Amino acid sequence: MTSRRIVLTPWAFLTPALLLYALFTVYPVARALILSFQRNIDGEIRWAGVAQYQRLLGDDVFKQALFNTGIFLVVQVPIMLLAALLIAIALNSKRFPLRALFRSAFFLPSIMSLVAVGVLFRVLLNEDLGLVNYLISSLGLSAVPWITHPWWAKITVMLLLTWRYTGFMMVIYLSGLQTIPDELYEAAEIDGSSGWQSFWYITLPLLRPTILFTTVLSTIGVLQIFDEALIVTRGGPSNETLTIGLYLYQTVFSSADFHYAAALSWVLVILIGVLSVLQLRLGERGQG
Amino acid sequence: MKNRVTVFAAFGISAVVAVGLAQNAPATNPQKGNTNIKGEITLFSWAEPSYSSVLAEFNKLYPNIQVKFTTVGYADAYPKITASFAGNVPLADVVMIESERVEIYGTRFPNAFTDLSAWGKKWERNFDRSKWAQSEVKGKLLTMPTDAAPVGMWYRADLLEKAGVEPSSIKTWNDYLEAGKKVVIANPGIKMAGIDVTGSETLMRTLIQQQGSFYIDQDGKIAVNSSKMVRALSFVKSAWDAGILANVQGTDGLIGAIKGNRVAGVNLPVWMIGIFKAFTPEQKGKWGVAQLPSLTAGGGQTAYIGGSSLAIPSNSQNKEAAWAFVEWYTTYGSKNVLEKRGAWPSFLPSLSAPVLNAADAFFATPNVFAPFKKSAFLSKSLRYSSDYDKAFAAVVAAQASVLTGDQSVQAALDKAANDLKNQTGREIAGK
Repeated sequence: MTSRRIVLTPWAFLTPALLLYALFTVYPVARALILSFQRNIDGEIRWAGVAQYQRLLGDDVFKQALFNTGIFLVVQVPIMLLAALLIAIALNSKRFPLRALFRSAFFLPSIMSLVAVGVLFRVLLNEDLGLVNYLISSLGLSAVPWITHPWWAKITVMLLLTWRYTGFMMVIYLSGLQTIPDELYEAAEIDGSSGWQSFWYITLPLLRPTILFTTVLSTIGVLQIFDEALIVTRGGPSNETLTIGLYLYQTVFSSADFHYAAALSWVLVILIGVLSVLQLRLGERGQG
Repeated sequence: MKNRVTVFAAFGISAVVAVGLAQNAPATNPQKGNTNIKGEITLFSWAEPSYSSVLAEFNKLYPNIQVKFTTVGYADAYPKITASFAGNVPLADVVMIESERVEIYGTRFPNAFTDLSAWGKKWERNFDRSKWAQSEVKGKLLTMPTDAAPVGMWYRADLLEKAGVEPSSIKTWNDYLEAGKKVVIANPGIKMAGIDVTGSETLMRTLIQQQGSFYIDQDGKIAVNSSKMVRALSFVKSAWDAGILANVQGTDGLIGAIKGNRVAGVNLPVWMIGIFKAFTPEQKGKWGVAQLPSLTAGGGQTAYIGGSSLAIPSNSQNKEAAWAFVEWYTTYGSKNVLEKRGAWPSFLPSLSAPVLNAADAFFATPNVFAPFKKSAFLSKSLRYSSDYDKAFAAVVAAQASVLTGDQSVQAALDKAANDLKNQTGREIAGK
C-alpha cells in the first residue's frame, strides 16, 4: 500500500500541469494536424488529403516568407549571440564600473511590452518625421528608408530583434560565466596564459552548453518572429519582411483560412524540430 | 420510448415553426418603431460613436430596446470576429463588418450569419446597388449596408492658388499631374498629395474603380494584371516619378503630413470632413473638395474606399431587437448618422437630407457634400470577393516594388496575379 502511494504521489502532483499541457498544447497541435488535411468549401469542412501542403509548394509568398526568416536566422542570430557574449564577458569582469546598472540596462529591452516597443520604433524610424532620420540628416547624410526599402526594412527588423533580445541572451551567458571557477583562470594566469588564451581554452569550452542552449533558443525564436515584423513593418515593403509567423497570422485572422494556416504551422513545427535536432547533434559531436 | 420520440419530434417541429415565423414576420418598422420589442442587445464595433451618437433617436422609436456596446480597436476587431465565427462563440447581437470583408466571412462561415433576406429584401431597391451586392453572398443577405464612402479630390485652396492652379481646370488625371508639378514648384517642400507606398493602395484602388473594374472580376477570376490595372499603376508610377507624391505611412503619417502642411491634397472619401475638423481646425477655410479627375475626359469619376455593414450573428439570442436596430440604423436612421457623423448613406432616400445642401464655413468650398452627390454611386457593382485580403496584399506589394524598386508595372502585376493564383487557386482572367 505504502509503495503504491509513493508511485502515485508524483503523478498526483503532475496531473494539473499535464492536464493543462494536454488541453492547451497537445490538443491544439493535434487538431492543427487534422485541420491541415481538410478544406473549407462554402462552410463545409471536407477532407482534402495533402491539398493544403501542395498549395504551400506553389505559394511564392510563403517561399518569400521562408527566405526572409532564413535571412534573419543566418544574419541576426550569430551577430546577436556574439554581441551578447562579448557584453557578458565585459560585465562579468570585476573591474567594470557600474556593472549592476549596465546589466539591468542591457536586460531592460527584453522585458518591455512589445506593443510599446513597436510604437516606439515606428515613431523613431518614421522616414518623414522620425527622430532617427532627423539626426541623420542633421549630420548632412541622406535620410534612411527604414520601412520602405527592401533591405533597410530587413535591417530595421534585425536591429529591433538584436536590441530586444541581446540583453536576455547576455544574462544567460553571465550565469554561464559565473559557473566557471575562478581557480581555472588563476591557474592559467600562473602558467603564463594570456587573456585571449584563457578565453579560448577555458571560457569558450566551458561555456559550450550555454552557447548551444542560446543558439537553439534563438533559432526557435527567430523562426517564430511575428510581433516585431507585424508592429514595425507589417511585413512590407512587398513582403520583404514577411515572416512565416506573420504569414500564418494573416492567413488565420485576415483570410480566416484555418486549414491552410494549419499546414503552414506544421511546416514551421517540422522546420524548428529539424533545425533544433541538427544543432543539438552538432553540439554533441563537437563535445565528443 | 416511441412516445418520447414523438414528443421530441413534435417539440422540435413546433420550435422550428416558431423560429420560422419569427424570422418571417418581424414587427419592426424603422419609421414608426414598436414598443413591444424588448430586450438588451450588444453591438460589436470599432466605431462606437457612429452608433452611440444616434441612439437617442433610435430609442424614441424603440424605447424598450437597450443597446450596449462592445468596442475594440480596429486592429483587434477582425481577429475577434474570426475567432467568434470559427468557434461559434457569441460575440454580440450586432457585428460591424466592412463591406470588403463580408464575402470573406460569408464564404468561410456562412452559418455564422443570420440570413436577413426575408426581413431585409424589401429594402433592396432603396440601396446603392454596389453596396447591396457586397452584402449578399450566394443569394443570402448576410449584412445590411451602413455607409458608402465616395472619394473626392480634396485640395488646399491656398496652396493651389499660389501655384496658379484653378481646381476646376483639373478634369483628367493628366491635368492633375501637370497641376501637381506647378504646385510642387510654387510650394517648396510640399507635395500635391500623399500615398502610403508600402502600406496601402488608395490611389490605385480609385483608378481601377473609375475604369469599372477591380482586383477580382465578377466571375471570380483574378484581374490584378489586367490592362486597366496596368493603366492604374502606370499613372501612380508617373506621378511618383514626377515627384508630386509624398510617402505617408499609415493614418498617423497622413494626418501628420496634413497637419504639418506638407501635402496640398488627398484623394480620399467624404469622411475626411471629420478628420479635418478633428485634427486640423487651424486649417479652417483652406480645404476645398471637387469631383475626382478621370483617366480620360468624360470618363468614370466614382470610386469608393471603405464603407461598412452590420451583421446579426446566428447565435444572437435576440434577433428581433437586433434587427430592429440594424434595420433602423441602415435605413431611416442613416439620415441621423449623416447629420451627426458625416457618414455617407447607402440608403438612397437619405440623400435628400437637407444637410447635404447646407453650407459649411469650415471649407473653402462651403457646399462640401456637392461633389460627392454628383459622383456618388458606382455605375457597375464593385465585388470584393472572398479573397479580397490577399488581393489587397498582392496589389500593395506590386505597388511597393514598382515605386521603391525597379520592377516594371507589367512584371509586378503579373507577379501579383501569379501569387494570387497560387494562394487562392483562382484563374487569371484574360488581359
